[in-house]
Amino acid sequence: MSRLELVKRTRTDEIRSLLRTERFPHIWCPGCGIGVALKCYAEAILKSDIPVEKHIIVSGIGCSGRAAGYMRLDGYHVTHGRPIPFAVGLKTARPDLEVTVFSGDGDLLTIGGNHFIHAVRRNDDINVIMINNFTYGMTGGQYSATTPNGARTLTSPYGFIEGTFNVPYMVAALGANFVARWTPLHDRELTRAIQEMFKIDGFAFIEVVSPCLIFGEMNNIPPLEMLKHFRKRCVIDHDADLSKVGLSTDPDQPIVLGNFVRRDRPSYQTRYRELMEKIRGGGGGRG
Amino acid sequence: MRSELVFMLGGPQGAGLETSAQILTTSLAHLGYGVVSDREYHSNIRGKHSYVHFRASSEGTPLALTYPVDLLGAMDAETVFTHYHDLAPGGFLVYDESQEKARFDRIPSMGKELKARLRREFAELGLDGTLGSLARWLSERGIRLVGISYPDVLSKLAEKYGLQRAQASRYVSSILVGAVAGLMGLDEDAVRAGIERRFAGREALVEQNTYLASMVAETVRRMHGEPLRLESPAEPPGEVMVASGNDVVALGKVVGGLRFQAYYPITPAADESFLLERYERVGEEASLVVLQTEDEIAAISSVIGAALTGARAATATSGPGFSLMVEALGWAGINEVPIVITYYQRGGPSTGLPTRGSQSDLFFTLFASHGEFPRIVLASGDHLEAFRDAVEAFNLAERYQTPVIHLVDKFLANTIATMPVPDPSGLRVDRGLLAEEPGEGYKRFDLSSTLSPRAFLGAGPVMWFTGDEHDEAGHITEDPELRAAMYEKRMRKLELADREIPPEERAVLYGSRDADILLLGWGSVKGVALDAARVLEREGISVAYLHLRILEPFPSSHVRGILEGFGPGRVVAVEHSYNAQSAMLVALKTGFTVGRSIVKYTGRPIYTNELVDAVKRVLKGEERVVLSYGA
Ligand SMILES: Cc1ncc(C[n+]2csc(CCOP(=O)(O)OP(=O)(O)O)c2C)c(N)n1
Repeated sequence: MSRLELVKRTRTDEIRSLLRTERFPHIWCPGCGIGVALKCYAEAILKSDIPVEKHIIVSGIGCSGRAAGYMRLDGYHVTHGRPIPFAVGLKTARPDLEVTVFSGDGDLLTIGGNHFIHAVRRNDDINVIMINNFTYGMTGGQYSATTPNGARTLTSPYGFIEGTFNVPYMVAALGANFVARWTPLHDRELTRAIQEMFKIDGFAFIEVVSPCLIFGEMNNIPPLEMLKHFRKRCVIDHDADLSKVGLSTDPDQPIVLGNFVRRDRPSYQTRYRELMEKIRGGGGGRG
Repeated sequence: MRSELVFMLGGPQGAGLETSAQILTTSLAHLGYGVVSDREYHSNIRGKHSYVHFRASSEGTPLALTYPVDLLGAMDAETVFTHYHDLAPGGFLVYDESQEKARFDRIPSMGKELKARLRREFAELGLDGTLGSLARWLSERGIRLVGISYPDVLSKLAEKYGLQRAQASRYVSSILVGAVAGLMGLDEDAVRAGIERRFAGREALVEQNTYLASMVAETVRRMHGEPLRLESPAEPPGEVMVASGNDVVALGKVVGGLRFQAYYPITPAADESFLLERYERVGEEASLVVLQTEDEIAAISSVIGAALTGARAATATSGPGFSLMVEALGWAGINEVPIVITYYQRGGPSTGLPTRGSQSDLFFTLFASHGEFPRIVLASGDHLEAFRDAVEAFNLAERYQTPVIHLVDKFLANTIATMPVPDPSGLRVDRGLLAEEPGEGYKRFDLSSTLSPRAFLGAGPVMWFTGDEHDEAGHITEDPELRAAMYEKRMRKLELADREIPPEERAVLYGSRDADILLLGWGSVKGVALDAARVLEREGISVAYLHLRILEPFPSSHVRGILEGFGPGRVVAVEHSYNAQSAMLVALKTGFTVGRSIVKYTGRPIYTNELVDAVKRVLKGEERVVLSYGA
């Protein structure tokens, strides 16, 4: 066996050790991108300097939300739209833990949009991996806040007209410390971006633009086509003008990927600790 | 020949089971048979085991489902392993011969609890765990095997129409249709009609599926005859509809004048809204708006917003969604806004069993939101009731200017049944008290009568609404006397409703006051209770059923009168819950203690066979029977 193979084998075994394989087969359709993103998360954990037992995963409801149940980590699978506040409570109570929210676009940005913007505003020290499959996969393919205009879904049979979040632009504008976008085709870059996230003090966010069988079916794009589509359209540009990276159904429009934002605004948890140190020391209090 | 057939089709979710079910139901309906079917499925998109349980009859639409089944049609080996217990002696098993070597413990989609149960059972029976060994064992016990090599018939189809192998595998649904049609001796034109309806406008699919179904039907007929043929229908088929519970509620809402529906997708409610979305484009003028909002809080809030402009407005949800609506429900209560919430109960708490049924939210709907305000809660027992109640809900909401919660459940939502086309001529639209030409001095909350005439926002006078306590014009007040007067005016609306809505319509007695035993239930218990009563009647046990249709305002003295006639030991609450909440409600409202209960909380519906047994056990003295049948 060559050295390379040996290295690969160990990696796979190690990753498997982080997965609850006894819960397989997983619920995801063939061709779905969620599993790849989860693998990247597992790999990033192994490569991180943080001990595995310090990593916590929190998911909401949806196909993506089922991810928490397949990781051999402490975790919560919570109510629809609320993984961020559950995670914020957890992180604030135990700042030593590395808390990652892994959920869908519907969960995080549609029903959960309010919590999302406030967590970024506060700059909570959590990682958020958002699978953007443009739709509510679990309930059969309705539109969400990230459905591109014009796209067909179960509830926009004539094409979506509501308007779409340009997610990296919005999250950057809100002030997040880390903003990236990748696809499951870019597993190495995605893994590295997740490793990067772990190092950030503050809100760190990755949008994983992901193929969905159900969304594809409604838009006449078979899953494999979808991946080819991605490969053709993806452009890596870390310095992209984020106001121009909104996603559309236009096959000639690029899907811009990259690690767009890196800032070091101190997180809420850090600022809180500092404030407490200051006022508890008698400095700010009225005794 | 038989007058009735119980059968089941099973397979992986997303593999076309619903297609088979729709085609067969339509075909049977065409021939004048009555059909009910319930779809049981997992909360995921595809791959996990799901099944449809049918009952077809030549004497009208069956009231409920029951076991055992006379025919099991299996798309895959997992279906046989999961349901072989459910087959009646002498029943038929349709399965894929080419899968005989499949072992239960190698089926990835099968749950480990079921595998453990099968391991024990097969060890006891001395079976080696393959489909083949189970089939032989069944056959030795009188089950008749209808083995078909699915790959063979599919490759014939592929050859004839030049399809790829992978493409052809999507047609398995028509193998089951053909096998059932063959065994039942269904007329070929009726099957074709079912297929045409399912694949309307897609000629190639109609042609290919018809070819496959006929080929299988012919083979099965040649080998087995038509052993499951039903008698000719008792009545010549009039105009019938095939509809799910979601469908009939949507239809009822349209007939009832729905103008605005907002919702957030959730099982098992969302199909109602999807159908309404299709009606959005019917007609010349825009008359119905359906809005998918960003969450349920937005859904109910926009419904209130629309209702204040005079539009008949509604939402549809299930437990998790209603939990989020509770705050706005109170706003509608204090502002006397007529809104309708169609509430499809599913298994809770929290995400619970998202795709399974329950009746455990009765108390939640009765008391949801802080403070006190009137609400009307009505629950439907079957498709026809659900249709009428969907209309009536708007009338009650507008008449009493208050939120109405229309309780249904997953069982009703996903039950597809034949039903007579509802006759709308007897239905009325009652918009309640409206202000005639409201002018300058108009006061929305005029205290001179319990019901103040409504005006619509934008109709003339300046109108003002607040979630605070308010005066007659709607402005904030904390004056104690005004507060009391406004509070009492609101609460009196429920007393008025209690006086005006006939008690016999709120609690309906089926059967005799002299019966041996009285079943007490609501919602989808109705069908199975009446069906069990029929079976027990034949065995010499007389059973009456008291159906609670309007749970708030509760028809207390009417119900008390009926229950006292039976006495505590002869009244049995039947419910899909742990607590038998209807019994608790009766105690609260009438002081009568219901002494017996039959409950089920596995998320599967109560079946006639198990209810019949349970009633007998209660008659022998058991106080509480917990049911659990069904995979
Ligand atoms: C309060 C509430 N409303 C609705 C639902 C139903 N529901 C379950 S998953 C889901 C959408 C999930 O979409 P997304 O977050 O995009 O994840 P995906 O399934 O696409 O991965 C919805 C609407 C629910 N569980 N709870």
